This record gives sequence, C-alpha cells and structure tokens, in this order.
Amino acid sequence: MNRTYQHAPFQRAGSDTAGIMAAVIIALLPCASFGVYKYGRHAAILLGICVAVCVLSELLMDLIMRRLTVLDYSAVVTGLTLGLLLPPKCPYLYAVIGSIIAIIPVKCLFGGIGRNILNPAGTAKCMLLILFHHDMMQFAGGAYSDLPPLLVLKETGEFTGRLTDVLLGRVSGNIGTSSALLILIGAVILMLLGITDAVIPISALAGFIVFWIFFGHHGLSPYYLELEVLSGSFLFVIFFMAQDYTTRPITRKGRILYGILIGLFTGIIRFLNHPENAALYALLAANLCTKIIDARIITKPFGTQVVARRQNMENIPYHHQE
Amino acid sequence: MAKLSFSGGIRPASGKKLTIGNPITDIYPEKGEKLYYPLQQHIGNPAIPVVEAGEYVRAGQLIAAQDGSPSSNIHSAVSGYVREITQTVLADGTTAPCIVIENDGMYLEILYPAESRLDLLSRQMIMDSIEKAGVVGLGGSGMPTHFKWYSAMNSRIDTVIANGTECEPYMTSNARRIIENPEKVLEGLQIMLKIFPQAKGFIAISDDQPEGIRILQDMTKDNGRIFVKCLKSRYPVGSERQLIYAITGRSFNAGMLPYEVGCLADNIETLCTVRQAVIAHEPMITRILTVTGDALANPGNYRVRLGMTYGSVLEKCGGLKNQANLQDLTCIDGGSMRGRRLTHLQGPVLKTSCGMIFSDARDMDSENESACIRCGRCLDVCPNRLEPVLLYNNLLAGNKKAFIRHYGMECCGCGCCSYVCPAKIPLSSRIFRNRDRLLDYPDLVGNYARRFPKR
Repeated sequence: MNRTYQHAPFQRAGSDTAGIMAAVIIALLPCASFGVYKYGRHAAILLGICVAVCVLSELLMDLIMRRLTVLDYSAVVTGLTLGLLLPPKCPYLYAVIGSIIAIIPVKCLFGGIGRNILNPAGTAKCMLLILFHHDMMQFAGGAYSDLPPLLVLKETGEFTGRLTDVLLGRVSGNIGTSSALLILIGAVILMLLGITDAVIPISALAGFIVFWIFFGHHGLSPYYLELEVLSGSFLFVIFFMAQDYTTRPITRKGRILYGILIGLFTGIIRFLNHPENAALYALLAANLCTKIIDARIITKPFGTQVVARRQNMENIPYHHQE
Repeated sequence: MAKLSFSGGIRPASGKKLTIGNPITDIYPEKGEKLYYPLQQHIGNPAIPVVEAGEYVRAGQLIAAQDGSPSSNIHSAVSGYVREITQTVLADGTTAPCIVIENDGMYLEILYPAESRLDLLSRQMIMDSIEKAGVVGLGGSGMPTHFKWYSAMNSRIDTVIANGTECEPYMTSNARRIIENPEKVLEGLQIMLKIFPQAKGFIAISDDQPEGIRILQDMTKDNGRIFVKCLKSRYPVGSERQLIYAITGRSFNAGMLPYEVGCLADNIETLCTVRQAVIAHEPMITRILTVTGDALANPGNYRVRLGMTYGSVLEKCGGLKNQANLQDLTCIDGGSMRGRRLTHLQGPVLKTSCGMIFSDARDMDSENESACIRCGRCLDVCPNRLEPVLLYNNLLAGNKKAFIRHYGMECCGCGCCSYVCPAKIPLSSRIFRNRDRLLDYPDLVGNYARRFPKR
C-alpha cells in the first residue's frame, strides 16, 4: 500500500469527493458542449459566469467560516448545472444572482455540502423564475422556434414537430436540457463510472408515465407520452439533479419512493398547466420529502428475523456431557 | 440455500502475495530474553498465577490457572526462572499484569504423555484436554474454546465449520496451514465432529486459494462427513454471521449466537491447536504470525513462542530492510482492515495476535476527513445491511436511543464502511467504539449486554 491512514482500516477505496464531482462534471460535458454549439458565445459566457461565481461564493464562505471545502469541486458542479438550466439569452446579472443564491443561502448556510435540504442549482433557478419570470421564459435564440415543445403544446393545444428533433435537441429550451440523447449519454457515463444507479430515473419515469396515462390530455398516445418525457427538462432533472447525493434518500427503497414522487409531482404540476418548469418544481417538492423518507424507511439488518426457538442466555449451563 | 456469499462487503487489495509462498518457519527467543505473559489473553476472567517470582518453570508448564468460566489457562513457552509478576505495557498501549519469565535457552519441557488416538478418546477426555491446554479462538476472538463448545452442547448442532477463508488482507497463516498441515486441519475438524456427532463438517476456503482448495478436496473426496466449501473471496466472508450464511443460508443477528441456528464455526488455526492439545497433549504455547509488509527484509509466516515481544519477533525474522528507521514506518498489529497502529514494539505476542505489517506507506498528507456527502456507499457495502451514515449522525448527536433503534448494536466492526467512504470518515471505528460504550448500559441494550461480555 502506498498510502495509509490514522485509523483502521489502513487501506481505503481510491475514490474521494473531488473524484466523484469530477466524474459528474465529465458526465455533464456533452450537454454543455452541445448547448454552447447551439447558442454560441452568450451561452458559453453564461456557463462560465455560473461556475466562476459559484466557486467564488463558496470560497468567500470558506474564508468566513475558516475552512477549505471549495477544493472538492462541488461548487463547479452546482455552477455547471445552474448554467445548463438557464434560458439561452439570460442576462448575465441574473446568472450571477442565481449562482450566489445557489451557494450561499441554499448550500452553505444550511451547513455546507451534505447538509442542504434543497438542490442548490434547482432552488436558484426557481428563485430566478420567481424574481424575473418574464426574462427567464424567453427561449428565442438560435435557429429554432421561439417556444420549446411543451409551451407550444400549451399555447396551441398540439405539437407537430418530429420526435427525433426533440430527442436530438433541435428544439428551443434551456441551454443544456433540451437534448435528450446527450442527457442519456451523460447518465450512462455516470452509471459506468459507478457514481449512481438507475433506481431514481426509472421510478420517476414509471411514476410520471402512469400518472400521465390517466390524467394527461392524450391518454395512451405514444407520441404525446414520449414528447412529455423528452421535453421540459424532465430527463435532465431525473438523471442528474435528482441523483444529487445530498438531497436524495439514502436507502434504496427510499429512492424508489422518491423517484415515484418526482414523477407524480411532475405529472400533477404539468396537469395544472405549468409544463415547462414542472420537473424542477417537482424535484424541489420531493427534496422536501427526503428527510421524512429517510426517517421512516430504515433498512432491516441482516439476520433480524425472529427465531422460533431461542436459548435463554442467562442459563447457559456449564456441565460435562459424555 | 447456500449462496457461497453474502450481500455487501468489499474487495480490498489482498496483499497476500508477499507471504503466501513462504513456508512456516520457527523462530525462538534467545537465552536471557524476557517473555511476558499477560493474565488475560482471552475473553472472560483473567487467569490466576500459580507460580511466584523465583520459581523455575519448564516449557509447557501451567503458570496461570483459569478462574471460573469463561477463562483460560496460560502456559510458559520456555523454561527459565519467573522474574516477577508486574504491570507491563501491551501492544495496544494498555498496561496489564504479566508474568515475566527469563528464558534460560535450554527449552526443558514438561513430560508429555504419549500421543493419543482419537478413536480411543471419549468426549469428556477431549473437552478436558482442550480446557487444560488453554486453547482460545485464534481467529481474533479469544473466546476459550472449551467454553464455546460446552455452551453449544445443549443445542442441536448440525453444521460445524472450519474457517479457512482468512479474509483479512495481508494475513496468510491459515492459507499456509492448509498447504502444509492439511491433515492437522482435518483431524481438528474430526475432533470437533466427535464432540458434535450429529453434525456435518465444512471447511470454508475462499476462491483465491486454488492450491489449498485442491489439497483439501483431494483429502476429503471419500469422506462422507467433511466437505470443502469454496466461498467467493470477499471481505468479510470470514466474519461469523456472513460465513454461516454463505455456507448454510441461515442468518442470525448480533444478539444471537451461532449455536442457536445449529451451527458452530472455528478458525482452522484454533482447530490445529485443538488437535495438538487433544492428540499430542501440547498446551498452547506457540502461534503462527504473518509478519509482512514492504519494509521488511524477510516477510513470511513465522511460528513464534507466546510471550516474545514484537520487537524480538521482528529482529529474529530478519528485521527491516535497508536499515529503515521504525519512526518512518507504519507499523500495524494485525491485518490492514482490523489491525491497530503499533506505537512501540515492546508488547508481547498474545494468543490473539495474528500478525504484523511494516510498511513504508506514508500517512495521508492532510488529515483527510471531509464532510459526509450522503453518497450512500456505506449502505451498499455493509455486510449487516446497516446504515452507517445514520448511526454516525446519531453518535455525533449523542443520541443513544436512536443509535440502538437504528440497529447500531448489530455492527460487527468490519471496516467496510470506512473503507469505501469518499470523505474518508472513519465510520467503522467510531460506530463500533460507540457500540462498545453502550454495552455499559444494559437497561438500554438488553440482550446485547449479555451476549457480548466485556473484555
């Protein structure tokens, strides 16, 4: 062994927090690159601003609290995620405000990494939507139609685009969340690197699809079901943001429930006619349920079944036998 | 039924290549060297000295008698004069009363009776031999073997297991035993089977010991009562509950003992020592240690006399290579998963010692523990399906009741959670220590306080 530790065990697994965050950044790069390709310089600068301001905010909090946590790259992940959620022509100032909100109140003031209740990037986007709603819903930019598919559906009652366009991201939307294919590629990278498994996304898909079959406006129509799944940042939320370690339940059963809740809440909010950001709000609502899921769903340890015949411990006889 | 493995667990670097090819070598203390025998090298009551300072003892002579039950006899490994009975510092830093014997280099032994034949011995004679010889569990537990077997006699034991899996990294003494003395292992198991006549015997071996598997399978192929079970090599497959589950499919929790599910497991080193005690009437005076590590001149498996200091063992097996300085090295008593840091080498080899690692690995530069990110990997690897992060939060909050409610008392201290934690939090040692501390509150922990006697 070439490294050792103060306490047993004296060998440890190789990965550390910075390594995990680096893997997430790598998995987000396909979406980020495509976003920059689609929307050009403005998007690239937005991503850069988000990452930089997040890192600087965490550095500021570190200086105040006299510790050093910024080196674990989690601020970079938050910044990148927030950047990918922004609309393509978002004013730079809003990106700065959002990044500060994501790090200082939502993450650091709750106790830092591992202690926050809400997803930082998601909450920041949500705050921006509340404060600057009109600007945050401007998707015009690039060579695509003015509105993303779900908003077209909401305005006109139908959508006539091709699903392949939606899959490949040739529609308008946020910087990084419109290409379903690249999101899936990133998700596969994450799973292959051992960072997450597919429990939450599959539960969320199941929850949403079942709900939408019953309550969606188009019943079992595969075209509309696929459209709903592939748009509105739903895939980005369930494959990346819902997999954030800190805000998801820690047990497997808990995660299944959490995924189903995200799917269900997305369905409900879309049913109530807020399609574009429904997945985001659903994520935040499910985040608020994580604590109670963790408190109630505890794994049953090995060997805790009742044994029919139990020896009475106090009367262990000590006598000789032939 | 038998799945040959269990859920959870890890696959650390085994480190066994350093010593797996080295045959067991005897090393002896030299003339004039002092040997130290703590009165408690086992679970239970400390033994009571039966010799005084100035008395001459022979190798194999009883020097401390067991006191009640559970307890264990202690014998001298050399001949010489008892110098004193005094407080001595042990390897883990605690002090304990020890009988100090000065080796006169002559190795005069007590008179040993002729070897017995197993088929002529009765069960009572076998149990008496084991009790007299002071055999304790050599897989690290230190439970007096006769006490363990007596306790099991009231249950219907149908499965008896010889644990040769040796899942602890860097330790190879079991593996070498299987290669060099398989007949002793089998005889030890047959002795156990004689005590439990309704049982079938299994030798558990992990699948990274191909030579050992082949040897044992050859020797047992016509045996209708002993079977070789090749378990998937995963740490901690040798842990009692996981071992029994892997072989029989029966599971039980930490508040229960194996005989409650009809099983009994013992390390093969214990069984070899039992064989020596029953057949050759030899008391427990030697122990095989794996002395290993990349800083050693001659890593290997050494049969040492109990009572030698670790420093003496190191010197006699060739010392460090390149005149390295001990202060620069990492010295570990035991394996790399459950061992302890050695701060000095003056502690004596106990019955429960299993080896030493001397490595020039550097400590991590910064004290590397960072914040828990709730990744959940500790849950994935816990062999007992506990939630280490939850238990850790309970213990940080000082919440005893929550710790117990979340099954903290089930922790076996294997170290898997600490191994895998990306934030490098020493979860396992802290949770296990907290669990140990809670044994002082029998009203809170109930059954567990009875099940786990304090050492």
